[in-house]
Amino acid sequence: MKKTFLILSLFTMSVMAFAQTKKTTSATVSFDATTSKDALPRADNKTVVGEVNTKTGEIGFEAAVNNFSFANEMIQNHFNSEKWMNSAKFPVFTFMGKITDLAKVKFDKPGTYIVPVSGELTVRDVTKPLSTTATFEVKAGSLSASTSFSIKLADYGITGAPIEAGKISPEPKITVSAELK
Amino acid sequence: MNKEAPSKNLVHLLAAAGLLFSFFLPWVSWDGIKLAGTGLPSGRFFTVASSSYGLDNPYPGFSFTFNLFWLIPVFTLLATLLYLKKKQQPLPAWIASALSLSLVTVYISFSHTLLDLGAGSSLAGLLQPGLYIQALSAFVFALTARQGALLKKAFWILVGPVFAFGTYSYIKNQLENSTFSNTASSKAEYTVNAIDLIREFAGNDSAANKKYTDKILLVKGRVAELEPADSSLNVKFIDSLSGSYAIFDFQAGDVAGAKKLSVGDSVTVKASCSGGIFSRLRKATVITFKRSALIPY
Repeated sequence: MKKTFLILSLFTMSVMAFAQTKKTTSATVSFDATTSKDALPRADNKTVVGEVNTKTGEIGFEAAVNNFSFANEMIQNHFNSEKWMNSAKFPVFTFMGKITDLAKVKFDKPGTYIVPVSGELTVRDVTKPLSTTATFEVKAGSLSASTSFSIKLADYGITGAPIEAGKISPEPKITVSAELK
Repeated sequence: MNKEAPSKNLVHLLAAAGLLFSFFLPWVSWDGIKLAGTGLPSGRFFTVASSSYGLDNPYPGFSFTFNLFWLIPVFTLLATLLYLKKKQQPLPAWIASALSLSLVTVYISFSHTLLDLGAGSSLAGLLQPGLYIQALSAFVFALTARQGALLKKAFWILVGPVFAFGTYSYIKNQLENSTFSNTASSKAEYTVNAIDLIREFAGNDSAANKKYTDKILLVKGRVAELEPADSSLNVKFIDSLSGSYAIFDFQAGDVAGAKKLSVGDSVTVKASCSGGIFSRLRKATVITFKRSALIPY
């Protein structure tokens, strides 16, 4: 009986240690559309769902649009309004992609790996291809991932006078960081 | 009739008619939604601004002051009656003109702000003929209310727009530079048990989103998970049966307190609910909260 329990425990621990999917529900995504004319359009979302499959290299992130937290209430309302992100109708930003050169990352060996990632980003129900470079840091029992890139708002149907007036960057910078377990 | 020349009488009466009738004509068109001068005092102005652009009346407690603008048609009629009865009483006409021009200023200024929210491509495109007729009529009505008194006329023509523009600019500046107040001091609209809340969202997310999104909630529950998020820490309540969860990101002043928590602690969190989504990755309902504050249990 004891032997069976020991074997089962060892099996469970092995599965956990070599789990193929590393997850978090607290990845951070920063949205920075500030310009020299306006420092307000900037926000963080610290409750982003993220997953990395260390065997296939598949990556997924989901961010609740309405949970981007701005310092200014008016800008936050603008961000979520119908003409901008329309968070009531399109409540989630998603990125589904893959590490394109998976062999370069040794998920079983501590170290820092910089690799290309490509996939599809969906904003306001508009899906566009996205390629960037991500940094993976493998530590004992955990994996951290980070990347930053810019998106063209016009690609997702977001245009308007404040962009033309230089109050909002037409290509905001998106920064992602995650501690996955 | 008045002692003025017949042509001046006619101009004054035409201005009165323009002022009266254009008050009920469309002044602006925001994405096809037309609003007359009656929009602000009737409340439709902020109903449309709120539903279409997320711009609520910043001071709802002072909404009653908008009723002043109903005095535009009232004073226009009164001034016209006095004029027809040859009474030299220009004050009602000047008040009607001042109120009218201040209302026109508010509509123009607000429409300009809506351009930033994608209401149109140019200010001129948002303004309707009713607004131009109203502005011109108010100007002429004030000028022709009596002979002479140029300084008084200039005062009554300018006082409304100057006051309205000054007040509007002040409020806009305040809103643009304001930051969120401490969530702990905000009034909670609902007090809920965390697991009950999660199940309410999982059971009917559209109804729950309508009820709770962008509201301040006081949520009580037992900490199921603590997860580092950048330099902060998130608290999670999890429905172990479904895997659905509520997650709380803390405001800067409460991060230190959150870091002292342990799994299993009973806590009360006051936070702004961002609504619930169904996560394809987690195959569960996820309810997110921002600017959370820990409340002593």
